[in-house]
Amino acid sequence: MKPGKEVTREKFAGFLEWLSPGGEGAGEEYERLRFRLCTFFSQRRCRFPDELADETINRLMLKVGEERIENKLAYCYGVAKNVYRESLRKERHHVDVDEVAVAAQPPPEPNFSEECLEKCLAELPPESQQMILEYFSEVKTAKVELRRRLSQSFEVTQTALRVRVMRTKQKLKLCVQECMG
Amino acid sequence: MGESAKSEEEIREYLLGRVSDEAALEGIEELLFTDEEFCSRVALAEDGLINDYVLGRLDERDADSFRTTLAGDPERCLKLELTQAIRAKALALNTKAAKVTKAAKAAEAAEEKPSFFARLGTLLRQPAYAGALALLLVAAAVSVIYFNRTGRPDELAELRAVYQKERPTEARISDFGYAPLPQLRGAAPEQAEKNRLRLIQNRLIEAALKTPDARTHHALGAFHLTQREYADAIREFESALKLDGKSAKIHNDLGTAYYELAMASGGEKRYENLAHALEEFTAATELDGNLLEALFNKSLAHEQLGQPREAKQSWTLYLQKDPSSPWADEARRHLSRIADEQTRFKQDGQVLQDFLDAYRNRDDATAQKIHNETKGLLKGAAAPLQLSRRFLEARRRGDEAEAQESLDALAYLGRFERERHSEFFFLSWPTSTRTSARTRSSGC
Repeated sequence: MKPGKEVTREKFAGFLEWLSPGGEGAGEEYERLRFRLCTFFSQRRCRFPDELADETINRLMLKVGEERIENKLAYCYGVAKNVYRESLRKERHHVDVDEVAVAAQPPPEPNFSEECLEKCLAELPPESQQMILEYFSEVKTAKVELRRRLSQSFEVTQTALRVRVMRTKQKLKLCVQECMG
Repeated sequence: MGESAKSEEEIREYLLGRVSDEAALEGIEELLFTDEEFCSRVALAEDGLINDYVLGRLDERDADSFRTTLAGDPERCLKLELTQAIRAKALALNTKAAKVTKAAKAAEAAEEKPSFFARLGTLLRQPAYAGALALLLVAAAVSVIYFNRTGRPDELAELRAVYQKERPTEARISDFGYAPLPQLRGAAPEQAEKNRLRLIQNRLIEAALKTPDARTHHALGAFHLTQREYADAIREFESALKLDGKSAKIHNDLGTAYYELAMASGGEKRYENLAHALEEFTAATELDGNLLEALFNKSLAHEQLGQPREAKQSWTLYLQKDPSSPWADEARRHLSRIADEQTRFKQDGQVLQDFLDAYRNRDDATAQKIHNETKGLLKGAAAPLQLSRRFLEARRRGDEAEAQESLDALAYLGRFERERHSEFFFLSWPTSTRTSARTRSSGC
């Protein structure tokens, strides 16, 4: 890699600051950007969407200090599209099938850790823990009644309930990933 | 930041990988990056899709599309795994809570007894009442024994006896002995048998009302199953599972109910019910790997789902555990049928292989001859049809080399048709195949 082109801790900090000036909510902004990028690449049927998302973020980190950017997210989208086109060019070279060795299956991902899930569930506020476990304990026949009861007991609309469930799951996911190292 | 007019349905289609129009796709992507509210809606919709999939609320088409997206989306896989783990935990806690409630009620009932017996003891001390009370006790004991039978040992044995000659379901019900499937299903029982069945039903219902535990619900479910009352059977089995989620036999019988329901259904419902059945049979075999009924049924389900390889493996495993019963003879017949069907399909597969060999060796004459001989066939052996299928299967597996070769071969056929016969139909086939696989590459 060219000197000055490597991603450093300082560049990462600068990138977070660029994403969310003042530092507040930078982590959340970073996760949202990553979600956008992973969704973009996976819905475009790219082979390694998470790697392409990382590549995009790396390029952004290198660029943001160098030039003034008016519309951050539109810029991110533009960089993502470039990364996507480059990935297509790499994949498009036609290969004689007789010379291709079939790629080995990637090693299986480690199983989801029950212990980490238990630990992370226990760390949730009791109300959130109760809500999420009740939400997923439904049987088909009780679905409508359960949703209505949950909405009433937490004094939220059905949509808001879905949002709360999603956010709780996001917290659990981050917690479990950290726990699993 | 403009307001997005995209509907929830459009977002869902996007997340399921079913937006094929490039302009529409770019529109959604731009909003995803530039519109915060839209991004939130997409995130929420994705979470909703994952929840619906885990809770079994997606229809077959959506579930299939969802599964296809998992191959290329590790983040979504992780989210799915997390949701499945939460669901499993929630269900386990449900079962535990039900058991705790039951135990608490039993403890409460036990506390009352001492006071009843204490009063009885007082009365017994008076000789005048001792004899009368003794008689009363004997009468009460006889009544308790008669009315409080759980019904399972007698009634189920009677039910099995009714179906000794012909079994009521193709899939096996737990603890039912072997009987062949009747030639004519759905024939009405004779009057004597109807009466017998009515008595059995009444006793089982009574037992389930008096002692609503896993065994009585299970027994009543089995009865409904024999009467083809599948919805009632499923209800009873699910009640039984809430009280004893680790019973392999109950899982098996619930699977049998879904299996029989599938056989009686058509269209999408059939496959949905078969998938439920397979889930339950799998749960049963995981709880008890030697439950022959579940192993047998799992093989049936694989076969009906059009999974000959899995069916063959499952039947073979069954025969290792049960090589000699009449059930084993049925298993062998199934295996033989699968082998016959695979031989028939091999003929189509041979056409494709021969075509590909000729195409790779640049043997235009042979490749074109095979195409000419089979292109008139509306299904099965025709090379373009098989190449399209091969392309779609390769994309699903992530085998881009095989997918590309299939497309190139299709294009080759198209050019041949155009040059020799001025026929443009086959030239458009690669494009329509790619569109149906929802490829996004620009310029492809």
